[in-house]
Amino acid sequence: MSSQDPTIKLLLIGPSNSGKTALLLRYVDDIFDTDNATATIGVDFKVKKVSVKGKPHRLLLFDTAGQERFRTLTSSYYRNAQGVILVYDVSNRESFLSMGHWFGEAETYASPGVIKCLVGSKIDRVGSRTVKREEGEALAKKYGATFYECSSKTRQNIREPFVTTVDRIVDTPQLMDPALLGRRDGTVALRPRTDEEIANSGCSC
Amino acid sequence: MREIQEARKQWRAIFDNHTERKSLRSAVGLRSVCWKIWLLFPDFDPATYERTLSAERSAYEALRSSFVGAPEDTDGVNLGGDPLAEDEANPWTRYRKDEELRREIVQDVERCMPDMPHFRDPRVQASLREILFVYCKLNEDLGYRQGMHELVAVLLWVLGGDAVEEGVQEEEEEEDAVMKVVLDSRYVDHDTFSLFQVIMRAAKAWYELGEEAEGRGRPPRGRPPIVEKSRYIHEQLLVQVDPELGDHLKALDVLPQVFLIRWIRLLFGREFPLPELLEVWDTLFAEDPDLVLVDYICVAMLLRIRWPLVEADYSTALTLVLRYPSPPAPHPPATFVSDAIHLRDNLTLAGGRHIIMQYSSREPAARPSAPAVSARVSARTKSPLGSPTRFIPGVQLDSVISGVLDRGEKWGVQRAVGRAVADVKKNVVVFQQQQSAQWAEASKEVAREEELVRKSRALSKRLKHDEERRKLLEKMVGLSIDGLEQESVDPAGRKLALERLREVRACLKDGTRTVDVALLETVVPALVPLPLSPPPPPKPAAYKKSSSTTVLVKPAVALMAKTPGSPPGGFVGTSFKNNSDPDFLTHKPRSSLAQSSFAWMLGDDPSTKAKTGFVASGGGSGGRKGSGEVRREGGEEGREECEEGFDLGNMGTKR
Repeated sequence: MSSQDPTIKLLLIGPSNSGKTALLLRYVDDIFDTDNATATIGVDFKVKKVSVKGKPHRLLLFDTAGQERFRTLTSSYYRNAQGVILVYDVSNRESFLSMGHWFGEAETYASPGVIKCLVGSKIDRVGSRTVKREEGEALAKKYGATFYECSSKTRQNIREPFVTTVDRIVDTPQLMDPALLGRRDGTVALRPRTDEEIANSGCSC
Repeated sequence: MREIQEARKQWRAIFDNHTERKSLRSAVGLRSVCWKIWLLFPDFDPATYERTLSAERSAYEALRSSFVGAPEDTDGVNLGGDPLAEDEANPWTRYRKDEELRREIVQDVERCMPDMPHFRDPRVQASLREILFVYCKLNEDLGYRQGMHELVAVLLWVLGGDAVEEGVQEEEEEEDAVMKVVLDSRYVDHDTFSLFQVIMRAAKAWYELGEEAEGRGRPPRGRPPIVEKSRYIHEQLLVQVDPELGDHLKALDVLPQVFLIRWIRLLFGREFPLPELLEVWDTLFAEDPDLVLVDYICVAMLLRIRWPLVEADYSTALTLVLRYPSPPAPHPPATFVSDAIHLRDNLTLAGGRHIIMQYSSREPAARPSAPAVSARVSARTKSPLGSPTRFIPGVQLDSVISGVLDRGEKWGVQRAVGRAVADVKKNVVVFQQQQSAQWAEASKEVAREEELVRKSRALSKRLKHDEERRKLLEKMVGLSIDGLEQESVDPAGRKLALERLREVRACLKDGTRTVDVALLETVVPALVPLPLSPPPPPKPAAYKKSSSTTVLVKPAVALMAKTPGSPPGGFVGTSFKNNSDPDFLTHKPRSSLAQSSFAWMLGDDPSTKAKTGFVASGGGSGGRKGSGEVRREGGEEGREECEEGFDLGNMGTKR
């Protein structure tokens, strides 16, 4: 992978123990290991190379700790994130009920127009489900997010939340601004303005 | 759990080779005993252990039965009152809060140390839950924060591993008694709790949210301590030993708190495999039970991977710090602690270079000098003092020195000059307070910190310069007073005194003006014209009557003592009542400033050594007692006293 490839930054948020790390491990490394699940402290980070419309991209995935919700830290995670994946546990109603707060956080800290995706996890726990699929769909619709139910254990619907979110990001030009992307790599890329921009910014007289 | 024979052997490994804590630098024999020695026992002498342990253990016992015992007893039982009342005092509210806390703790205990079967044992999990619950109940301001559970787990692992079953009776040796108490398996939880509390004395702040409440949308009031600490490590420590790396991480926008939160909160628990982690903790506890060294360990870890880091882009750098590469065999993680000690004692470029080269034999490039620095330097040389109005309000000074000249006759010059000098001192104090306020601000706004540090240094230099200048001005004011103080001031002497005062005013007005030192040296009044200001206001009677030109400088006391109709007792009763100098009334006339009451201003008096303190404290620490002079003390009180006894106007009426 080349460091010149465009990068896309995604953030996983949601209450403690909702399955964020498991979802990420399954998606990036295709690992599911309940025996090695442990609380995330602060934040964890993974990189995955993806191909979007035939072009290589680097996906930077930030897996945040469910408990770490203080502003200073949270805002630093959100810096330059283009997509947010909000995760709750379908077998834990309380985790679903807290999602309003998580959407609120995303709206507070993420840049405007950030792509959101709501994910109900652990659907393999059929017997203990306490959140209906329709409830999740309705909530996602309310906040303009896409919605998936998935299982890290069975691999069901693991790629979809990521793929859809990335597709929506690259289809949103304001989120793929090279200046924004460049800044994330520590440099400010000054690009020449396009003719269209120059035309638009010109005075009317 | 250990067999008693093995435990005894290990116990001896500690106490046969060590007789004091200081010599025990790494864990030998029983690690849990070493940790207790480093963290818990006030004294190395094993005879004292039992007392400490029994107090600690009974405290935990009581806490556990009060916190853990109670809710389970009342589970499903009528607690009384209205279960739905939203009231802190309502036992149901407390009960629900406790349940919430329990849920949080259980969630993490169940997934604690997932790769170690030991922690899947329900009894071990119960111990973890109880210890955490008791700690969190004791520290309700903090509550449960993720990460605490792994600190407890490591302690529990070590203490449990060394414990011996009670009641193993065999040939009882004398030393066994203490050892069995220290390693008693029934008290593993108790002792774990005690050690956890010791660690949390330092670590609690790392888990705190600070001023920032958890509620969202509230205005930010302050950063959590862990964020402050992370920034401090990056911007104060790392930058000093490896500016290139510090700048690179900053340029990449790799925020220190993103990775340091985990490093620090878990005391590096997830960065190294457990056996190596235990060695890190050994060296850390042995060296610094207050855990200040943790900051430097973080710097040492960054320096170890500085070469890949300085070449890394954003995602590579984040991967490096969040999946810290295992240091190769000859340098296990415990070496980070010795590096940290070196860095703590050598927080310099050289200190950093030493550590970097120790593991890479590559030398970091010397830092290119920033052009901004030279620009600043040249700006400073152009105007060494800068504009004093920036920190001393010019209007105030102007009016102060005008007051010296205008009010001189009305009030007595000395009083006004005394005030002027005091005001100058006050301004210095104000300036210093501003400076320290800036420092406080700097610690809050660390982003601006580097700039502020530079500014403060420049200001300190300026302050030093100002202090020297102030001394000169004080000296000049003092000479003027000595001149004007005369019963009969000759016109030339008065001219000189006024000229000196005008020079002082000019210097205070214009901060860049160099003090005319020649004026200080003039003993005999030179007949120079006074072109500067309009003629001084009319002189008081006391001056007009003066006719003597014989002595330029006369001792004030001798003068007063000679004054007819002013009995010495009067002075003693007022301004001199505290004078301990028996000779003060018969003091020899002095002929120079060095012997005057302002001799301290010349700086050759040993008491002037205390002047830094004088300025810094903003008050007085004159230390010129017993000089037999009117002005015996430099402080505010002393000055008041001077004014009482040495008012020129009063003198005039006395005559």
